[in-house]
Amino acid sequence: MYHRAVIEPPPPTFEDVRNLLSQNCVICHVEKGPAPFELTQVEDYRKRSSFIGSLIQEDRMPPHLSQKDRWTDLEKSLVLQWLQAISSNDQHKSVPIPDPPKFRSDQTFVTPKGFTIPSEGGERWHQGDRDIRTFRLAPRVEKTLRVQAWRFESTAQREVESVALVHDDGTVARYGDLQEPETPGYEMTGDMGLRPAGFLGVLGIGNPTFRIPTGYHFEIPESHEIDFELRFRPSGLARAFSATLDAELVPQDHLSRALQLVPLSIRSWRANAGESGTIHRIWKSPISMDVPLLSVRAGRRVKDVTLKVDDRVVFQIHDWDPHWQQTWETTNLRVAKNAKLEAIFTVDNSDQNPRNPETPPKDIQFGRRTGALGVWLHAAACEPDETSSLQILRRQMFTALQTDGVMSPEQTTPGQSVLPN
Amino acid sequence: MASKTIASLILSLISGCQALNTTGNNIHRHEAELPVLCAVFLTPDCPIANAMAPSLRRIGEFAQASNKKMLLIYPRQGLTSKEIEHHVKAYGLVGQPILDPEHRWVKALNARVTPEAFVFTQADDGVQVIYQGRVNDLFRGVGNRQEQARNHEFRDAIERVNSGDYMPRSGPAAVGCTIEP
Repeated sequence: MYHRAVIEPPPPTFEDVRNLLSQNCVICHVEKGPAPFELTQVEDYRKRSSFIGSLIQEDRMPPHLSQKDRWTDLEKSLVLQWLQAISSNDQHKSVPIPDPPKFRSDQTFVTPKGFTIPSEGGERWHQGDRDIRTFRLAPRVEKTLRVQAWRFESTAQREVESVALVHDDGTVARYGDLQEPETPGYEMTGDMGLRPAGFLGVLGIGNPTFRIPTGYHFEIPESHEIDFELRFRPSGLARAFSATLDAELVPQDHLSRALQLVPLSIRSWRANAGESGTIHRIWKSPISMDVPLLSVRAGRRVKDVTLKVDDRVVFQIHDWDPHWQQTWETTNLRVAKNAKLEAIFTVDNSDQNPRNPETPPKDIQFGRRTGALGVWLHAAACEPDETSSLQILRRQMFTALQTDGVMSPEQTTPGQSVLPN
Repeated sequence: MASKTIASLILSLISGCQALNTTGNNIHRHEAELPVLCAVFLTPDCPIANAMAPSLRRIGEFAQASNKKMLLIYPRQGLTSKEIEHHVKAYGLVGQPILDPEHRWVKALNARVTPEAFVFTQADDGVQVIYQGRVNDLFRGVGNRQEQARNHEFRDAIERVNSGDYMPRSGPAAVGCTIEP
């Protein structure tokens, strides 16, 4: 007589999940890392297994927003099963700490000392929904720099959410500094005129070392300074803040293309209480360009951010979380001349949006000169003789943006090709 | 309203748990048997609990000024009194730290996360749990942090008791780090 047996696969072992934990958890949850506790020992996972499990199930951790970087259902299931039955034989094992990314520091910039991140957030004059401060870094750039990679370090690893980098000749930031002469930096956004904070990339919690794909670079003109918009999250303890920004430069004899910013921005938008829907920015590219990097600007009422090229989704973030800002690398995105680009922001100003700070929801309106919402393409022209066109294009797009009306959900604004033929 | 059984259990827990004053000595039972108790569950490395520490400090001061005992209950196994004292001091918390490694407080109050807040008061027929829920709405969910709290349910509950309103009300569910079994 035969018994029908159900053969269940054995639960995953530590070896099955070790690399996933190493690359996705330990990278931040390490001594002096940006995360609030260490996850370098199996025991660290065991004693928080329910909490970690719930965060994984809710897709909160690992906090990679981009869909392609998120754990697959299979990976999630593997780690969740392992968490539920961590073997006592494994409790003393260590999760390997990944090697730090290779980096050569060619130039170092520093923040002024003397600012303390407060122990908790507070009311601010602009009623923005970020804890922000903008700093000017020293020294000023003596000759034009071609930056291949950034590395950011600070005394407040756990309080820093992101730094959005930009360059300026000093005019705008000096004005900001004059508003608060007693303390370093100023409590305003880091936009430098029509160069938005993030023009030179956004370094987030997950990417304090950020490498620009080979063949491209961020360019900082001679005699300019680097500024950044710091976004922080108070941790309950006041923390003295100072930071260094290291730059690895493109070797002098290497060919490389400077990245310019192509902004698909919404200058101003509004929504009634309870209203939800989509806001679009449609634009036709007058030149062909390579787009190795993307940055996003969006707030708490934004649920999803999507970029389409000729109606094909090339980038998408569901359940946008403003705490995890960074610049993302694309997969060899090339935009052909006359291609249609469409940035879509799904906004939700209802009580169904758990991130909505207003309960009950209120009518809202946001505006910013460089865009209250934006998908920014860090792009290089495909044709060498069109390199300067991109620079002109950015200025013209931002200038044209200033005449835009206030947009509301379900509104689509076709963009114009603003370059002369 | 909690039954007499739970009431006596809570009171026995106060003396049964390893309760520490700021110098590390065991507290006397009579100190804990104040008419009204406030309690919050904490773990030293929970970023949500720590982010609320400035609020908790103010609530602790407010409770103290109102002659209410504030209990800071640490439910994690393996924590030492030294670690707890360090945490209380670093964040300036005000209240009576209590180690609860065997989860007697957790089970008695059905606490789920840190930080989770409670207010109790003694009544003729036992102990009333007046408030159970979040400290405030700094976090609407895990990973959903506001820049600042706008609603302060824990403090409101203490204020209600101060004004003589002992009606039990459950607050919005606490958001925080799961208390591990």
